[in-house]
Amino acid sequence: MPLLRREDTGGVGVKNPGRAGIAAIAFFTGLEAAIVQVVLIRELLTVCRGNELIIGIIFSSWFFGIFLGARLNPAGGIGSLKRRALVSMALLPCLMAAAVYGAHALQAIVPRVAGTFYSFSAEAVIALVCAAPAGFFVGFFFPPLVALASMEMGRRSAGFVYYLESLGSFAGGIAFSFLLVEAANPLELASGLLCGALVIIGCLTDRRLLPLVLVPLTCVFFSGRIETRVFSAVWDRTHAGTLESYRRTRYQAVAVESAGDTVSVYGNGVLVHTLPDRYESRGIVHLINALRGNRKTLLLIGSGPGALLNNMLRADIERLTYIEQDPGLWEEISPWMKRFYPGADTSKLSLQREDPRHFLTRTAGRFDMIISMPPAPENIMLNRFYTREFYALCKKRLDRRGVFITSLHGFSNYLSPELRDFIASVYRAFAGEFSFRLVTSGETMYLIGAAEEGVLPASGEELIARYNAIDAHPLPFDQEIVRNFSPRELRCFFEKTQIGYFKEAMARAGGDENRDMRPGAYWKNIVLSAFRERSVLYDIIRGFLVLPVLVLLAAAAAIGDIGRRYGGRRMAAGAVICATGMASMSAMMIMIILYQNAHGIVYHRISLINAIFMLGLTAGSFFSSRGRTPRPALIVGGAAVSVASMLVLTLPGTGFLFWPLLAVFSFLCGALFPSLFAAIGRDRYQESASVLDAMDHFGSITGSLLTVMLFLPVLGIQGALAAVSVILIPAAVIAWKVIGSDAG
Amino acid sequence: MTDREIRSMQRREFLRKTGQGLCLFALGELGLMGCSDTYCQSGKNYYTRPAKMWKRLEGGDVLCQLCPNGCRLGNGDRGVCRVRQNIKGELHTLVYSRIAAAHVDPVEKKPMFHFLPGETAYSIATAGCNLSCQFCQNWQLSQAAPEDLDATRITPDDLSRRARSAGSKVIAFTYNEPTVQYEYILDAAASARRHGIRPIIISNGYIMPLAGRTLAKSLDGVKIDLKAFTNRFYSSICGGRLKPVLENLVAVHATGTWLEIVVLVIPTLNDDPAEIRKMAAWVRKNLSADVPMHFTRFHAMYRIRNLPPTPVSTLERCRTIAKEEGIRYPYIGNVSGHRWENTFCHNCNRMIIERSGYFNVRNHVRGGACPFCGARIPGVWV
Repeated sequence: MPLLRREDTGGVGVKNPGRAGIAAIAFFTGLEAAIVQVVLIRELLTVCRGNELIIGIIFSSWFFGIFLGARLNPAGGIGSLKRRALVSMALLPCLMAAAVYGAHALQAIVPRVAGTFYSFSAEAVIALVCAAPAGFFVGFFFPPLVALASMEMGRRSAGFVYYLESLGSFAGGIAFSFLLVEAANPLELASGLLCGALVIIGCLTDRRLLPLVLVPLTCVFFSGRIETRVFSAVWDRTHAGTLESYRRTRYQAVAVESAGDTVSVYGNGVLVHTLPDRYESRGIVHLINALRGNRKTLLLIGSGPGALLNNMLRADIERLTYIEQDPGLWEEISPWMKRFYPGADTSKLSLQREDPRHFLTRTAGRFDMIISMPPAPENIMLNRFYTREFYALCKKRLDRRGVFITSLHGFSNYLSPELRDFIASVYRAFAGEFSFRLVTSGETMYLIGAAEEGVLPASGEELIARYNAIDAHPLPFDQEIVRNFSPRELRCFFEKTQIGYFKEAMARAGGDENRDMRPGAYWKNIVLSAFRERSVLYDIIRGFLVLPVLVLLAAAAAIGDIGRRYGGRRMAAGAVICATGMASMSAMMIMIILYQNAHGIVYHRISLINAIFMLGLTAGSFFSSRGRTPRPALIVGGAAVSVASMLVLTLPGTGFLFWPLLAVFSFLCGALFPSLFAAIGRDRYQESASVLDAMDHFGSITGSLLTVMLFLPVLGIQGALAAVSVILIPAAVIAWKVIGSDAG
Repeated sequence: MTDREIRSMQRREFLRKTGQGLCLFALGELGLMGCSDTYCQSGKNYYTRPAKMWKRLEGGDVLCQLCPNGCRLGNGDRGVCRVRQNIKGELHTLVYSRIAAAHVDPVEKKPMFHFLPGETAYSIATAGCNLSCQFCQNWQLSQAAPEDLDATRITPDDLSRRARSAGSKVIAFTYNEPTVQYEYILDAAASARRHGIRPIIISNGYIMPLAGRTLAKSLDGVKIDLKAFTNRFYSSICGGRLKPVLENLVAVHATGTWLEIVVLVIPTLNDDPAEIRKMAAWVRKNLSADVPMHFTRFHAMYRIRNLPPTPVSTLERCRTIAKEEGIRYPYIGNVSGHRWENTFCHNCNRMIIERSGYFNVRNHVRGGACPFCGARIPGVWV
């Protein structure tokens, strides 16, 4: 790569934007990057499946784009460098809008069979195509800006740009998390960001460009209508019903569609509830009513506000507490509930709009029955309703003679090893907590538990006999639920050969019980999906050594290439920052997962976590580039200790340490870049910035992939943190031996 | 060849072998070659038997003539169904008595509504299917190769004994596609009849007419899934064709074996009223108005996991259309408690069999006739 010539002015009339201009570009691009990244995650999750695997793939695609942008960055004159930085800043929001609406439109352009998902492989390609171009320009702007800054600041240039970019990302994260998440759609965000970019471009180049701001500004006013048109057109071509409403809440994107006499609700593109579902609820309403006996206080989690909720309200109970975490979803669905259940008596209903685990932790009340019907554990957030810890919490809140019921993906006649292991991990967690239990058969299974002997009937037949004996006819339920009913119908839950087969299969199943810190069911659910799709991912998962081997080979090739081009010191610096980038991404994802485990749906908090991380980076890079530059080895060593110290977060009652630990770790990550840059930058600033930025993000790619596909599934959360910490040790040694002597 | 070339070859060979070894190591536990069941591990292959319905081609190839896929197989190849293999120029079935699932189900669960109502069916399955429906309820069986599944050996006579000891009057070859168990079913059905048990199949009907007729004659009841009435649906969702299914329906009906048809109504994919009307009209014209048609409710399954259940109003509309087209016994299925799960006499329109779900059945039919007006009710009642 040719060097930047300081004397190269890039042509007549082209000036270096100056410190303020560089600061504005760095800050605003950082702000854009933070918003674009989190918006892409949200929107891509509605097209793909909303789990951490896909988030990992989106992250890695994003970082892959940055890696390429940073590497494919030839040196040039001031004019060229300035143009690259400014164009990157202006293109970012445009690419975000293109990616978001392109991904939605893709469903109509490349249709899939209604009700199916794209395969994991296709989702990976979509994530790459949508996230990488925007990421590319986040990487592409950095080396030229450092080169421009280096004319005034020499080896402190990278630190300057780095901390301003990080500061911008912090501001973007805060703005999105607290202000924009529900207020603005992607088109509005893109238009707003483009306005800002055009203002900066106009001020730094030619003020006559400023009127161009009117174009995106106009878009802001029409964005709502444009988006509704696009979404309705796509939805009606790709789904069974007509799109009634689409709303981005703080937690997810909620879509409501109507088809015939039913209304379906989707969260992040995945079907969550169908109303009124009266016939659908016939069996479970009677099963619960039969188990209820004379129990009066019920807690209902995750069933949706359909027939189960409305019919149980009519039963002879005193209070029904229903928990819906997403108030936005409730607002979208409640008009339909009123339409399907006009005049429903809600005097016995206590609606709680918070995370069910939070509620169970904080409430002092006890319940006669707790009924938990969460969606399948497609992601870590949902997995936490299938863990031993959750079952323990429910048991704690049950009355002495209380009954707990939870639903689970069951089986049709045969259990493949994948499905068997998935069910077994949940069943063991449940059985570990409830010594007295009943299990039903069917495609949706119900695990029924009690803490005390004699509370539950010994068998399905005994339950049927008990229900027969209850003199409550006519039952106060919907016609669809009581017409022609006989307790014998409950036999469909207790098919003897199916239950016998299930017990035998559970005895043979492998794997551990599902726990918060070892979310086996979540991972097994992904394996099951990949198996179902005959996806390439399934083969990669089954041969789990493939991915680390590929990552190692790719890392060796990238680091070797740097060594060949720029020599040993830069190669060592590349290796060190690659390891740290990997560690930072892994730690970041694990922190997000830990936060999810503690707080449930945290989409709007992902950007806050990101923002705090960025604040740490800002502070670290500021400190490192202003004061006496610390030795890289010390920083990497500190980062290893910092990651290891995150293990404390896996202990109960340590939530208050979350933000400080995140800040310390990100501070160290932020300090490393300027420190390494100072150590290897010399006068080839753009080269050094390019190498470090590229390898930092290459590390982030490997970190996001390895975390979701290897560390978490194989090692669990604690093991993953330990592994990341260990990986940093050789990086610290390399930094000490090869780079350390020159720093400072 | 020079020494250098030889060394180069050895190096290449070494690299190739090392690469292969690493790949195998990395791919670890793919387990494609493994077989977990005890019979297989014992080294005695009880499950492989010479197949029927095939012909020899040139060069050791064979042509399977069992189903419309018409697989041409070289030595060692398997058909689309995964369970029929060319072994040294002869076609073999790999699932003879290789039973992966066995349960006792109500006959209504099949669903068969005019076939010994209230009785249970000893229901068994092997691996394999000749279609690949994206909504398959039993995909873990149907889309698997035999060696991927845990299996138990159940000989035809064992099967009858097991059914009898479970108190079942019916043996159902179900869950996966019975066509791929052709040889086993012929033997097991004969044995069942000897033991006084009624054999039935729950099939996709994707079988060649000759084989379909032969199979139907050995059985007492056949339920066929007519998955849609467009070739487009069959090709894009199921990997098959409509015409052979229709031909087989005619062939089966002509044998006189009791026939019921099930249509799984999937929102947007096969719920067009015009399509349902054409289908019902075809059934009445080419089969009989007495062939019961079940319009059953779809639930998210296999690869179609993000689609809401079929609205009950859609099913009611299908049932109404079928009735208008002259079908005497159209039903709604998978909707426990719905009044159109019940059987109404085609003559007097009184309820003669009450149902709610699979386990609550009250049969008022007496001697195959309506207890109210005496009209003969089509079906198998004793």
